[in-house]
Amino acid sequence: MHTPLALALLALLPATGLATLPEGWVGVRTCAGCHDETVTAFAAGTHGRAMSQRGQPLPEHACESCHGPGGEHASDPAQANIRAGKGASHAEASLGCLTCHAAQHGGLLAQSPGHRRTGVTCLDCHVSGHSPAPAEPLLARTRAETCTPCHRSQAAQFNLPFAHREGRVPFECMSCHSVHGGTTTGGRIEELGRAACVTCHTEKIGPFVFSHPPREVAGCQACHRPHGSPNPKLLKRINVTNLCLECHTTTPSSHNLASPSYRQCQTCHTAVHGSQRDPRLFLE
Amino acid sequence: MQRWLTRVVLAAALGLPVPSQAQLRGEIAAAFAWQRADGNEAEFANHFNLEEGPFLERFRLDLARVFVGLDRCELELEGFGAEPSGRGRLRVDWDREWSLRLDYSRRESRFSSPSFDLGVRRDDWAITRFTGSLSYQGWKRAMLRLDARDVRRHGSVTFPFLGLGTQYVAQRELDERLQEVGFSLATRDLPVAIVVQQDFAHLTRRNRGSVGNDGRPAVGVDPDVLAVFTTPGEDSSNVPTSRLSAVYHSERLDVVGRALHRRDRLSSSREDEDSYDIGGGPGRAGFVDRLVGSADLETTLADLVLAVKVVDSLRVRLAGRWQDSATDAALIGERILRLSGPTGSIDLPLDATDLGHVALTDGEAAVAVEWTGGPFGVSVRYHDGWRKAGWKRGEEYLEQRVKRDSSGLSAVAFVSLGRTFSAQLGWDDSDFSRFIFRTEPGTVKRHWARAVLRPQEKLELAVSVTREREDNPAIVSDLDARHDSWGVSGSYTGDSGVFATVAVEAFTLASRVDTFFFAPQPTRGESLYDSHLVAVSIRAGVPLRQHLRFMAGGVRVKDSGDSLPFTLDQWDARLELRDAAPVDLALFLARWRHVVARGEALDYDVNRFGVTVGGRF
Repeated sequence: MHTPLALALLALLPATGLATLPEGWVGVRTCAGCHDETVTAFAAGTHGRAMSQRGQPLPEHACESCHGPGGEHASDPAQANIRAGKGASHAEASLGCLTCHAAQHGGLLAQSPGHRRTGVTCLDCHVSGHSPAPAEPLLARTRAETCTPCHRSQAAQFNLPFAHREGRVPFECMSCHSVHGGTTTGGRIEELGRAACVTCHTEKIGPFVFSHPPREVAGCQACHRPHGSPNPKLLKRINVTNLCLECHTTTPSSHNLASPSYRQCQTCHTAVHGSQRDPRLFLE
Repeated sequence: MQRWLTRVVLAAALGLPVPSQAQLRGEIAAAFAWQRADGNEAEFANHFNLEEGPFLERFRLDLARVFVGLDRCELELEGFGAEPSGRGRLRVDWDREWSLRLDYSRRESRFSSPSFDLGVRRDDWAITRFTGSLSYQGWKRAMLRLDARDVRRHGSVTFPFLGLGTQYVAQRELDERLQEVGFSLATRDLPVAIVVQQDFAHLTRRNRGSVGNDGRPAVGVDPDVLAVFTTPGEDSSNVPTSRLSAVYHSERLDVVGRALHRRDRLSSSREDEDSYDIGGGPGRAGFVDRLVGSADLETTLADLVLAVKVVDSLRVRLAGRWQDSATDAALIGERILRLSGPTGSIDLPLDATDLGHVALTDGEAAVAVEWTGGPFGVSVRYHDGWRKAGWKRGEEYLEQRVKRDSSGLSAVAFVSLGRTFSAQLGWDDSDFSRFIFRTEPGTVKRHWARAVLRPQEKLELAVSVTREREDNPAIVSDLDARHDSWGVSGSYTGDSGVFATVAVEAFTLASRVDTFFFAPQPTRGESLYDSHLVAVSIRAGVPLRQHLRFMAGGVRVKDSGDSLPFTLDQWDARLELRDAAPVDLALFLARWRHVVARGEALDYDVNRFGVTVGGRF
């Protein structure tokens, strides 16, 4: 389905790009001869804009860098004559992604073998960019829903009474997890070397003059559940004192636990994450 | 309109003269929600924090070629108003060399509970986050990027604290801020992708205290009245962070390496005071802390992973990780007991010099071998690690030094028939030599299985089972923790937007730990936690007519364990009319019902319904 204007525009293009194409490649203008709307949508999308560097037009290799050489398909437009045509498996189609995104694949292979074992491919989470994506970077679903279809157990935990949720919507998994194996590149500011929690809870980054050692040694999950919990403050226990007493066996004898005043440790030891002034963590 | 736009975009993409007209696309949907709440509204705010009123369901604006060189400008906004969060995203591509990304989010948090912190705790604060990046992609072999973020928490927290012989109530106005800038240089189209990044962060806390509950104790009656609670000091940290990462990828070898060095230097200056009118009379006893604290945290981290495809069916992965962090802290100053009355005052100072430190070193090495033969495969991983921890929290506490070794073996057998069927069966077994904290396990055994079946492209069925056991010896805490979970789900995604999903997830957590405390005599006890959660969720959407669409769903979470049996229902439905009129319309309703088996104090039943009006341009 081509528009007359599109064909006219194509005819006006200089032919300089063709000389640089490998044998068997036909170039984007040949593709646009039949797939003009697809090329148009692609050019306007994230991938198209990324390929068109420095104000240049969509490069000649734009389509074939993912779909492979198109010469045979141009002669005989059967789907079998092009890589990742309609109906192609995600695994086959994802091969095209790795042409440019080798680093992400390297991370996936090296550090997230679970994703690879289960046959997770690029297009299980991302779209190719031929049509508008529900979310960036070219995600197939919204950011909050991207991981849900496979990680239903974790998704269910966001439905607990206390959960990392904005109203009804769970937090985006990518806020804390690096899905490509922790090799997120490109300068993203991340909290490598300390809990992902402090990305938002910056007041708990520390350091503290008087620290509560589990925070440093065992991390936030020593006391909290990250996705959701039936208990306030995402705690692991409904009774805070039980949580404390599981570690603290040397409470002073003055702490009469039969008295209500001593049944909630944090009402005196308020600075449970650390204090700048009191080694007993009485106040911040 | 659509066809005109198509032509213009195509012309622009192929480098032809671009029409001078600006291209503008977008959509907006504004909503108003009415809400009716029965029962404990504060508990509903704890859980969902939704209110009645207007909010922005979505706003998207996509501009192209408005100015010469402006390739794209996208703005997204959502939330605010009656929603507990709001966010905005701005993305600008300039002359296809410069890219600007700005993100804004604001999240409000409210909390109060009659069973927490003697019932006086009140959280009412918000975190606002700005993050931005400016990248230059004009070079062929490298990309330069400047990042910045500003995170601020403000609002108030009301809390109990130990005052003159009993717990009083204070309020803290929050003024906490993190500002960070960083730049990175990332290589492009080179055999090794290298990223060098340098960040600098500055954190400040200027929280201001004040008297809460009119100076009365948190519980009971006490003749002494809290008259002054002030915290005029400031904590600040400077944090430079250096990062280096390198990734090499080839057909047979992947190498990923990272290194980080960070130094957090804290400076704390305090002159906090809490004073009490003795018996409510003119005599006053107060405590003034004139303190200067410092802490220096140094973190160094490195990890390396090599994944080798020995032959097509055999892969070997070697991984090593090392992290060292150490904090040295010092406090100087004095704690003053100030007694005052009608005739004057007297200060009794005590030296408050103190020292503390925390050190942690982690190391781990792992080797994994994975074999695949046709649709079948097996992966075996062995890891060996160690952790050294030491701390001394002030002079009055004993120094702790502990080294803990760990090792573990895990195996996964799997079968994958493309997208039609995949299944995995896994087994993990880890051992730890000793314990840093008495609740840490000595052994962890975990077995799990999951399978996904897609009998046709539109239908997916999944099942998963996990069994986990943790324990440690009776001489430690006799820990016995059992985590079991299972889940089944089915989803159908049809044509024209028809979809349906049903999922059942069940979690069982039973934990027992021996405790030992003084009450006031030495007493042995046990900490028990028992949770049997089942979450049933269903969601479906169907087009009723060409422009009319209906979606509905709900989740029931029920915990029948001994610790906190409850039921939480969340149901919602939405009817959308799109593209049939100049404006799009949607009606939505939702219901939340929370029932706690032991008493009605935390129960609520909230209905919310509303209308959305929007359109596209």
